[in-house]
Parts: sequence; C-alpha cells; structure tokens
Amino acid sequence: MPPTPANPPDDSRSDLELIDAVNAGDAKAFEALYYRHRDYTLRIAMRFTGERNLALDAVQDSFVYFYKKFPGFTLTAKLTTFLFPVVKHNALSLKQKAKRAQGDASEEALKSEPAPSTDPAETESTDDLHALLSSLPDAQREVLIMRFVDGLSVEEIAQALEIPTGTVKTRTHHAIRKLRESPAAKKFFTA
Amino acid sequence: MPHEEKQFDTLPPAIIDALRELDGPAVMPDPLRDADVISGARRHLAGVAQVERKRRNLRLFFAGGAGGALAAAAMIAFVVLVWNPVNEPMASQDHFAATESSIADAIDPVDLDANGSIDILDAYALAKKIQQGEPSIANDFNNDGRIDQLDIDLIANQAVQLDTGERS
Repeated sequence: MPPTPANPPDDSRSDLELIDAVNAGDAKAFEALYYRHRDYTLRIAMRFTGERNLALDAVQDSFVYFYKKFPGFTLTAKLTTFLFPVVKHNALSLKQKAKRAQGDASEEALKSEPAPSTDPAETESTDDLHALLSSLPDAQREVLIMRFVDGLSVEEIAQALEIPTGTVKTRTHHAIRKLRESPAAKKFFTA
Repeated sequence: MPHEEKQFDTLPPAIIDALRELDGPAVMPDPLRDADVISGARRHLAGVAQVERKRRNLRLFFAGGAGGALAAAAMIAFVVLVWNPVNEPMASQDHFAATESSIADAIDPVDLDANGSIDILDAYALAKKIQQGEPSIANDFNNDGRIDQLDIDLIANQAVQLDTGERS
C-alpha cells in the first residue's frame, strides 16, 4: 500500500462518540472521522469509477454531504454502512457524467474491470481466476467483495445496498456456486 | 452453524486474494482535497457551534431568567391582590416608608427603596404603594397613563434579568 501523504490525527474515541462531538460543533472530531474512513471510501469510489481523480471527487462530495448532515445526524448502523451507498451513488454519478463528457470513445478507458474471459474454464492461471470473478454479474461480485474484502456482515451489506438480507444471501450463494462449478476455481474449494 | 450458512463466512484464501486484486490497488489520497474537506467542515461546524451556543443561552434564559421574572411577578400579584391589609405594619412605619420612597422617587423612580440597586424589593415597594393608593406618576414606567401590575412586572423583569456575559 502506498504511504499516506497526510498525517491523520489520532483519536481513540469511537465513531459514535465522535459523531456526538460533531453534533455539538467539534470540527476536530469530524477531522478524526474523515481520516479514519477516507481510505475505505476511496477504495469504494475507485471500485465504481475506476479512475483516481473521479474517485477522489466522489469521496470529497460524500464527505461534504456527510458534514452537512450535522447537527442532528444520528448513526443507526456502522458508519461504513452509512457511507457506502453515499460514495457508490456519487461515484456512479461522476462516472456517468465523465462518460457523457468524453463520449463513447473513452468509455473503455474508464472501465476498471477487465473484460470477461470468453471461456474461463479452459485455463487454471490466476488471470483466469480474475477473469472468472469478472465474469460474475456485477451484483454478485459486489456482495463477494463487500463480504470477503471489506469484511462486512450480511446484515451490513444489506443495509449498505438497501436490499433484504435474503437477497444478499441469494447473490452470495449463486456466486459461490458458479465458482465451485468452474474448473478454474473448484480446486481451491476441495483443497 | 448450519452448512448453508457457512458459505457466507468462508471462501478459499486464493479466491479472496483474487477478489482483492480485482478490487484494484489502494488509491493515493490527495492532501489538497483533504484540506478542502476539513476546511469546509470547519466553516460549517463553526456555524453549528454558534447556533448551539445561542440555543444554550436561550434555554438558560427560559429556565432561569424568564421563569424567575414570572415567579416574581406572580408573587407580587399575590401580595397586591390577596394579602389581607389587616396584617399591615403600624401607620407611623407606613408613613416613614412612604416618605422614604418619595425621596427615592426623586433620585431614581425605579429604585423605589433607594438601596442603590434595582431589585425585587423595588417591585414589592411599588406593589405596596399601589395597594395603599400612593403611587407617583413617576412610577408609570411603561408610560401607559396607569400605574398597575404591568409596571410591577417591568421592575420584576429588570430585577431578574440575566447577565449575558457580554462585556463592551
């Protein structure tokens, strides 16, 4: 991971305690929340924009939206769960705007995900594992990444995506079934 | 844990690694954007803190200042309207008090008991003067042509007015 250019201020208070302080007008508490969640939100934004500047814009817009919620902001779930849909919405909006501005010619350049393999089952290389994962429907790949890379629970994913927990489980189940049935991935399940 | 629930908790490490790689490398933050967000938040929250201070002062005023004024006015109204005049002090003392308050009126019409400060005793003194039918025209503090409960309230309000903490 590249070094972080800014030196984030350390604060031992929980998100909930910091939010209470921000509600009372404490700017330092907001600063602590920003640095605590900046890198996570950047990763989410990058996932949906595929371009650094767009991701940075999306995160900036999201935190502006966030601080304008004060005073009177109440945290009902984890802050990451609150931030996820905000960042995703901003990232997708900015990506759409960029697409419209640049035209179809540059659309390919904005894509972060590699093109799906035409037949991922034929090879067993890491590239093919990437291709296999890329070939999953976006909704299924999204829940896999949120669950196993971001470390969110099924309930948190459901809250973040604003879908029922049953839908999260169904998407996860279908995605894993495809991986299990694929020659490129099934060896990892039996190992 | 049931078998069908396990799939939501585990995935082979090689596949998790591949998912992580697919998710892309970490994005280098931009210090200028950090500064933009933080300074914007500071400006916004400075307004929040100011509003919060005003709300707190208003709450204090209503809890203490206005409440105190109302209580004082109610107490004075009780004295004027309900108190039995049979229990009044001796006439000579009344005469002395009336003379004293006439002198005080000449100095400061609001400082009725001439003790150098405007306090709840002045409101009481005016209530007493009204009861005895001896109010002076100088005691018409609200200039409505009558010397009555409203003038008593005015002194009571002034007597319990909160110090706002502002210094010029």
